[in-house]
Amino acid sequence: MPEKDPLFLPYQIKEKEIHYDASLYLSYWRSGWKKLRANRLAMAALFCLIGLMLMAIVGPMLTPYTYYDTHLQLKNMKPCKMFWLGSDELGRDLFTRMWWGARISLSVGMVAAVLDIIVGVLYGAISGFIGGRVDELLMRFADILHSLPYLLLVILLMVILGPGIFTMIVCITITGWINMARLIRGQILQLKTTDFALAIKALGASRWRILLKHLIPNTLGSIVTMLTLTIPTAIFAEAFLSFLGLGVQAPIASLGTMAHDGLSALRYYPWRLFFPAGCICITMLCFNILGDALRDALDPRIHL
Amino acid sequence: MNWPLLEVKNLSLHFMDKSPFIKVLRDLSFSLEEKDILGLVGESGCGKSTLAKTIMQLYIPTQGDIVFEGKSLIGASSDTLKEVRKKLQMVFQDPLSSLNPRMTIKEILREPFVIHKIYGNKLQETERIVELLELVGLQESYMQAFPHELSGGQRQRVGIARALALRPKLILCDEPIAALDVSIQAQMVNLLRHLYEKLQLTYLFISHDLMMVRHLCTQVAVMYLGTLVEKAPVEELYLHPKHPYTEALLSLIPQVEPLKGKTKIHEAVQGESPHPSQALQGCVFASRCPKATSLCREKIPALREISPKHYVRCHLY
Amino acid sequence: MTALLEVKNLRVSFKTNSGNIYAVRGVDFSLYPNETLAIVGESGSGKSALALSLLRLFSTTSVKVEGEVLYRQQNLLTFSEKELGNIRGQEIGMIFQDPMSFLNPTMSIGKQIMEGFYYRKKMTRLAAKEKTLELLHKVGIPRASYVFMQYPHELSGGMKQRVMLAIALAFSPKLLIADEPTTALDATIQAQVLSLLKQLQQENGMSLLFITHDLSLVAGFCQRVVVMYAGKIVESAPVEELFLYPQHPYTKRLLDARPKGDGKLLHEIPGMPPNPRQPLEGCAFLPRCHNPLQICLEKSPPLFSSEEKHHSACWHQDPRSFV
Repeated sequence: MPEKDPLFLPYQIKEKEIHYDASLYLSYWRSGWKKLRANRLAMAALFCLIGLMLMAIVGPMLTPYTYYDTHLQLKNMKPCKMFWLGSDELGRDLFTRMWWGARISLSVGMVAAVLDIIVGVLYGAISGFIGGRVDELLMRFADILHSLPYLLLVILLMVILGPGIFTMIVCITITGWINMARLIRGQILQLKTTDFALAIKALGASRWRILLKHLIPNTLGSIVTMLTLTIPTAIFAEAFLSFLGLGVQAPIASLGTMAHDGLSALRYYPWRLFFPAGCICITMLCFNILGDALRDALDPRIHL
Repeated sequence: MNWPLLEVKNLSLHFMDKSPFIKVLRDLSFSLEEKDILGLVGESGCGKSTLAKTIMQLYIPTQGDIVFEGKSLIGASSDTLKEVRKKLQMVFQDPLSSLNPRMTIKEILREPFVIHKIYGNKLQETERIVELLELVGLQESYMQAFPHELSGGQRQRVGIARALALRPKLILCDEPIAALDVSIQAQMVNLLRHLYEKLQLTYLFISHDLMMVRHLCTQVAVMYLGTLVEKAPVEELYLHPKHPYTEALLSLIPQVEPLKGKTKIHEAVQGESPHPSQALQGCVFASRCPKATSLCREKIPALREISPKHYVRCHLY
Repeated sequence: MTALLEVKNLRVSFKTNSGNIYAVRGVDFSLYPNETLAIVGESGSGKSALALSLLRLFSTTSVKVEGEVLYRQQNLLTFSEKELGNIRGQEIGMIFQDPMSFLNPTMSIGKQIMEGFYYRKKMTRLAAKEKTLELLHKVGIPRASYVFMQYPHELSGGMKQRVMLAIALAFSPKLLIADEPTTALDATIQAQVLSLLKQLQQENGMSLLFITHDLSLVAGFCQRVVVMYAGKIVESAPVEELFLYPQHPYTKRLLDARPKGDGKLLHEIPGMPPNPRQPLEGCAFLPRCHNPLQICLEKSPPLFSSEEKHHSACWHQDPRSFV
């Protein structure tokens, strides 16, 4: 009797239990990072920003001058060996002043943006979560605030609180949170109807717990993206206010005040405007590029 | 236990925000004994999901009462409600949306303990979580996974594990197998059965799969447009259906033997069910019922017990 | 008789951030005129990808389709978008599972259907409207002139499905692809839609490619059935043959897993459908099979024919496995 082909003999499946294999899937953040890395423009923007921030920290330390040292004999000099970016009308080193200014602008911008985000997220989340009349009231209040003329508000605050960094942060924050609030409110409105929110409620969780531990973390993607796009707006707002003379007072420099000073000297000493303005532009550009790229990277529907 | 585990009395739920307002649940009454598996069948829009959520206190009923273990849930203090939540849990239809996509399985299963402040220490929590995973047939290593990394069947098991975490007595299963592959459905039903026997549970099993309901349940209730039209022990309902709608539903169970393949539609199922917002007079099924009379169109029939434990809401009886 | 549609060695794969997904791994089948063929499969079987690949209706560009899709002996995969545009809707119609995402929510029903007549056939408005009303009536929509003016969100699921059917049949296609058309519908509506499909198929002399995950639906509805698993066809047979004498273990288990009313534990199929991200060696069903052979571990079985027109891809059908 012909032997059965050995390939056709029975095979014993070893009881291989199915274990979770982490390598098969990428988490939301890892997948987002991978997509971001593939975007070369975004990576360039990121490195540029890191470079800028490093310079803002160490820049002023690289020179023997401070931002307020005056050298009245050496005013309005072109970029040279002594003053790497030239000097202003009081002989102060522009290089030191610019990076000092960058420090102020960047930190004011980031602090204001973070505050905006915190206020915006909480406001929007609570409004969306409670819903109904409360939601309508809160949103109408935000709408009214949004429609007030910004500059008037700012000037009013300046008068009440006096000029300075703190006031500026308040000014920038006061209307910047509204977009975030609207965005988060929309997401929360949708998230609170999902099954997992119901499931947690069915387990007996308090409303705060549902909101803080379950719903808001699901909006993190939007929050991160919005953050990267709010920062340049805040930086520009600071520069704008300082440019108008409503910001930090001399001799403290911010990029905005430097641009203000540079404007009057534009015809003869154009670098005094170009350097700080250029710094503002590049910073904003990089944040915007990064923010755009982040938005795409964190969207699970968009693939490489 | 002298009283039924769950009693629903004249429960009505109206959604008032639209006009005309929508009557989602209309005067529902039934009871559930311990160790029952009550199957709840009906088509989409009949309100069976809403009923489950209302029992879970996720919606507040407009009228009527829900009594669990002898205690009324309507108007109960939040402390009482929290205690009740430990004994009354729910499994949802869509396994993906019922798990928080940002939390790992371990965190999802920890939530019940954290909310109710059980176990205080991490070691005990983890032990119990592993125990729960084993109960539903998942390996310990899945604790670190995120929901989207699991298959549909595995996610549903996690949903069941979460429902079991607080050692409930009654579990409401809202179409737990509808979103799963056919080859997995049998696994899930067997699992539910196994847990029922091992943990002495009671189920309210909502499904539109009539064959599964017949296989798993001890009692069956049929809903149409927010109303309970028939309720009976399982074999009684399938062998001797009384309400015309029940008859229609049963006639649609696909016949697997192709030689008996049915292509003729049962008369009762022409047309579509009216929108729940339409004001209705008389029996909810009157517009599609082949046996409707003028009485049916005018007066709502009462729910009557026509034989032991067999209730029908129809003027024909 | 020549086949209306012949699919040869169709392969579909998607490129994603975390690797490739091999949705369809080599599928061959034919569809003849005036015939209803059912394709049955679960998640991961590749049936949806297969359906979309026939008319290349993917919404993403990171998809690769290889093989041949011969419609009247012409390979659709080599057609340009313009040429395909002439085929879609006119020669080959398609309906989907979710009518809401198919219908334009900002246009009234009548307008959506009329568009086709107006632009394609250059009919007058009046003639187009008449034809549309005729169509709506044909698919069993009561009060067609009222529905004509309604918007998609005002209709129920069953009605939307009928509208979708009307749009698909507007130009009397020779082939209709129905991708899970009744999955989202209630039992009573499902019965109505299926009966309507069957009636229309017979009236128009169309071929119908019916894709579903529910094996019990196809009895009494189709002439032939093809069962897919993990991107391949595992069994194909005339419908009675399949239900009475299933050959492939998957088909057998699938038929067996339904409750029989005896109250005993259901015969479940252990394990899960395979992950389409992982390339396969050997038979895809191996981890869930109760009677595997040594060769199943190494090579994937080809389709073996036992009877006329009954094929299954299982090494047990290989003559070498008989003693």
